[in-house]
Amino acid sequence: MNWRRTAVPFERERSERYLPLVVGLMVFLAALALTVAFALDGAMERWRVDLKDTVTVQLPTGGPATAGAAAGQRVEAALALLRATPGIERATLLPVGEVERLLEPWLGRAQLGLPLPTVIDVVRVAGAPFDRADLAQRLQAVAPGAIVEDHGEWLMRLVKLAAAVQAIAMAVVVLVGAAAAIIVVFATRAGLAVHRNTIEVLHLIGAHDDYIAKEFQTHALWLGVRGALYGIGLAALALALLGSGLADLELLPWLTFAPDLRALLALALLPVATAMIAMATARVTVVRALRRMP
Amino acid sequence: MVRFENVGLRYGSGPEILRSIDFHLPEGSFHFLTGPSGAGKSSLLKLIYLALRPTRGRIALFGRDVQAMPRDELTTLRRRIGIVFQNFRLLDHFTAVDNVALPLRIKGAKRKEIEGHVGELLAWVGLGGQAEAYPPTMSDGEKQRVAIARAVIGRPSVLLADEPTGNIDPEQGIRILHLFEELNKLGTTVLIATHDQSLVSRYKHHPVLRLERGELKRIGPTRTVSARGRARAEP
Repeated sequence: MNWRRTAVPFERERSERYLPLVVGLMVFLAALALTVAFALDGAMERWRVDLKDTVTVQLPTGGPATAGAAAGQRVEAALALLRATPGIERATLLPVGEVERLLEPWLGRAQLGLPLPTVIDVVRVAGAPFDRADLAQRLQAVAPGAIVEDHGEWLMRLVKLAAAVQAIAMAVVVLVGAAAAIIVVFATRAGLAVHRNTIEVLHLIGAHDDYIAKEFQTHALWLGVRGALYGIGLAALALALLGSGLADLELLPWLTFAPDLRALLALALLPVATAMIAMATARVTVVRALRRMP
Repeated sequence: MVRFENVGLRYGSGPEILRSIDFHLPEGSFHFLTGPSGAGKSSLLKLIYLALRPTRGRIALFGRDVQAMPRDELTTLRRRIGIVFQNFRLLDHFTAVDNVALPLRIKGAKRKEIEGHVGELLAWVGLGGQAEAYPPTMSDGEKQRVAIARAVIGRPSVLLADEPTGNIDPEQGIRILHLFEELNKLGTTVLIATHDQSLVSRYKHHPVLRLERGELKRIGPTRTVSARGRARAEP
């Protein structure tokens, strides 16, 4: 007597052979979207910490004030004014080498012979009021041509953009989940049609809906698990390649695809969630179909 | 045990294929249901084993009105009815022993209990050596006996058989009828649908329900064999 064999002969069904592959593809897309969402989350957090209370003052080159001793006096005057301004914790002149390092990924080493602006990194007292326009006006008096860049302003825009992309990524995860559920519904309906005779026999010899539904839901669970493992494996490979590619390019140092603990947990839960969605969807589909029987 | 009162049945908006059916199968009775092909024998059996609901009238099984019962409770009634389908309806991917064990597995019976009963029953229908055979490798007579074993493994109160001798030779048919009589002697109410008049004539001590063009024309001999093998009058 074979106790493991199910009454519904799923192993004979060819129509759902590709279901794990389709589910795998869905999980792959969901894993990528989740990773993007978490990567943006990490980047936004870093921006907030690194840039929230910082201001950059640029003293562009060109003109008589930027030549020789006048240039040095201009920088010293700007630094003195900044350090004397209430609400500013620290004002540091960025060495030329550091400015070159920051620009190198964008301009390339060959272009670094160009005249570079003098950059002063300003750290504000956290939470203290800050009037950018007033500071810029006062700086113009001691260092003509000085530009004050408040990171807070563009940081807010960037954070909004990142939040929108993050929301889209999460919406993709939800849509992919819904698409997977729809695929399972159609596969289950096909299964119900293929195994109609067996289901009818089970029903007539006294099987409760729950017994028949369990056979389908267990089958869907394993198909979901298989598909989810394919997808998560493929996603891990893709993310490893993407992460190493980004690290080599050093283009987006603030964006990392090395998942943190939360992201790892979410990625680990993705196959579980997929299998659960497949199982629950199959159960609901079967029970609703069986209720139409006498 | 089984009571029909003014029962009618139609499929969709088609004509009524069963009209004003009234009959009663007392507990422990043995009846034949006869009539030409297309008379509605299978439909009448389907009404009894709850595969169909009547479009009018009242059906009572085991003293309970089935129309008034919630769907979930119908399963409990189905478990008290053994069915031998016309074309056996065995699961081809299950061995004979697995097919016979299926109703007990569905009920959630314990493995040890199932194994003991199934082996015993297969031996009773003469298939002790065919336990591990798959239906596609079996003869129609063997399949029929597996179907009978599956129908009676749950010790049903009512056994219904739809053309049980239709696909087998006369000798096998007599053997199968003998099995049904043995079950009847043990107290099971038996109703056999057949269009084989020679079979009915051979077992003329059993009452006959005759269906013609959807109507129950005649109720045959009024004697049934009781659970204790004693003749009694049908109410």
